[in-house]
Amino acid sequence: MMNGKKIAAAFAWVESPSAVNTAIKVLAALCGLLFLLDFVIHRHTYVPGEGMWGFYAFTGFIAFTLIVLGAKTLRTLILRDENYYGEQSVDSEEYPASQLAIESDQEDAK
Amino acid sequence: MSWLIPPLLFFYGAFLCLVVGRKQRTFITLLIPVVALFSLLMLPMGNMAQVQFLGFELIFVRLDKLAFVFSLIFIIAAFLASIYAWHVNDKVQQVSTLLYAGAALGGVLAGDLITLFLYWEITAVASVFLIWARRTPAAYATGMRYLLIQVGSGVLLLAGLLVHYNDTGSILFEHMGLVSTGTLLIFLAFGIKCAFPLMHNWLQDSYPAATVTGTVVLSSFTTKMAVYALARGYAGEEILIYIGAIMTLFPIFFAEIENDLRKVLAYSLNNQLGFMVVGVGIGTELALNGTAAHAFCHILYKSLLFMSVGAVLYRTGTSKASELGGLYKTMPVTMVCCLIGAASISAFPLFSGFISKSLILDASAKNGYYLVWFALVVASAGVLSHSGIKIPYFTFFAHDSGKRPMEAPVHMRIAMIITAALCVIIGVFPSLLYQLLPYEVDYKPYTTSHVLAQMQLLCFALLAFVFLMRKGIHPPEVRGINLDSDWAYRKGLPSILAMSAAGATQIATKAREGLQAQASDWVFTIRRLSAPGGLLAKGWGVNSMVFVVTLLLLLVLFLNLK
Repeated sequence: MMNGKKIAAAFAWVESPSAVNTAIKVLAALCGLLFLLDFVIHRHTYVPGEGMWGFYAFTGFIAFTLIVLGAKTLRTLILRDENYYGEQSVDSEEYPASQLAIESDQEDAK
Repeated sequence: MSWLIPPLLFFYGAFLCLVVGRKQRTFITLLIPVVALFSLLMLPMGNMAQVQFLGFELIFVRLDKLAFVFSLIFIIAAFLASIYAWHVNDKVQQVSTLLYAGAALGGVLAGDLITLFLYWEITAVASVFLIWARRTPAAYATGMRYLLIQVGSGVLLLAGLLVHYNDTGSILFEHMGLVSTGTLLIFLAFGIKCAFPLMHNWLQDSYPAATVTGTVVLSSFTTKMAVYALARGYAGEEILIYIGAIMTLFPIFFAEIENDLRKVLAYSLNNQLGFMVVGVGIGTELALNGTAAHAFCHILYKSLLFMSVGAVLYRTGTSKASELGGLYKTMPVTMVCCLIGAASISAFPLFSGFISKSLILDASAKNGYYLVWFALVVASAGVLSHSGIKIPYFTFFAHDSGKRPMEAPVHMRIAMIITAALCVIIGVFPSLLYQLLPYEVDYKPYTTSHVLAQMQLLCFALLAFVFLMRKGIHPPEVRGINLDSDWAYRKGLPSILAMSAAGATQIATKAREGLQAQASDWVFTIRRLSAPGGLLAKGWGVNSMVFVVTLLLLLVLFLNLK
């Protein structure tokens, strides 16, 4: 599909490390800007402490990090083999291919 | 008119699907939601379709604004799922989809508890076929587990309803509150279907086991019917606030490390239900509006996410993150739709989640539940991590898996594009949704301060993701499963039973061996005594005989003394 190709092309920059670096810099700049806006715009607040500058920025960064670290720790405790529950669980089997239409994009393969 | 109420229309459709051919079936699954929509729009507010049954007055339709908004989104969800399932040529799935959607609709419109119970059980039985339709032994086993729990919830509801009727003499389905054994039982029945913590695992167990299209259907109805039931019966029940807050938090960790993306979405569904339950628990007009709005938006973006992951499964044969990556090249439309779903669930401004979740957050802050409010803010960052980033990133970007699947079929793309468009339209024009809500809405989501706060939260969370990926701290996607509380009844309890059975057998064996040894000891002793030369077999002399006889006579004398 023509449109699809264009969309894919618009996202092709993710392949280039330098473009990804630029994107990260843009994100960092955006974060910096948002952080600084706290000093300019007075946020309307209900909760004590919510009005503190950088409240949402810190919460976002720290909460995300702690969630990832927490999940990583959790994984060491509860990760098991896919066949753990044997054939009582769909994790151990492939999805029946007869119900699917697994096809490769021939054009792209060329 | 009462023969043309929306739930019945779905049942008629299901019946028709049983008897007609393939092409007509597909057409019926699309037509029924449209007809049902007209029927819903024409229904007057208030009670109708009342039936006398064994001295009870059953109210099959009780329409008010709360029931209306849930009914509307159920019909929309059924329609979108039908477009998505256009290719399905499976009578079982088509019939059960219509039955299931109709029953969920019936549950929402039910005006009394008996009618609610009836539909509550139909949803359980109808929906299990969407899991069994995968037609593998594992899907069969999973379906049985699902059915047991779902029907169990119905049994609790029935028990609660009987006790409640005995207490109050009323079967009306209205605000009850947690005041008696009966209402507690009903509360637990709702809690199971709403996937309260520790009653949740049926959801993550069964939804990923359903068919590609079945999961999309499943994700919309059961749990939201339960949210509706809680909002109807238990609004303002404080314990729900804390239950909801826990529900928003704990699934995040499981979602973060889960490899099967459909299971990630099931955990994320659980987390979103938490927001709605908090809204019900606060119970103010603002909070209940938030719950209804969030259910509405959530059904759309969750369907959209399940659709996009389903399309990937349909084209590649897997939904495991460790096997995917780089699919944006050949499935760009699916990818964009997935990104819109991800932005909506993460509540980016201009997407639907933003305008619904903030109602609940504001309600919790205004009512002084600061800790709960903070939990919801943290959970919002968590939503970004597993649904906002993980789903699209590991599927369509990340490392190139080398897979170059075809783009999703046209009908799937149409379904996804419509759903995505709805997510954006609601996000940009929130008043469209707000005017449907049960109470008057006096709320502006797009204030500078609110947008700024949300953008700070999300952008810094995104920055944390980049940081963790660059530092290699972010956990990689690996094959495997993660244990959850269902381990207790899938492994723990059976192994305890097996152990006790083994123990009992061992005790029985030991006891038998002991008795046998004892018995053979006695036999041996008797043999020894009676063997040739043994004590009893010896020839006895006359003297000793006289001695024994004298002893016996003395004994007789002694016994006769008194």
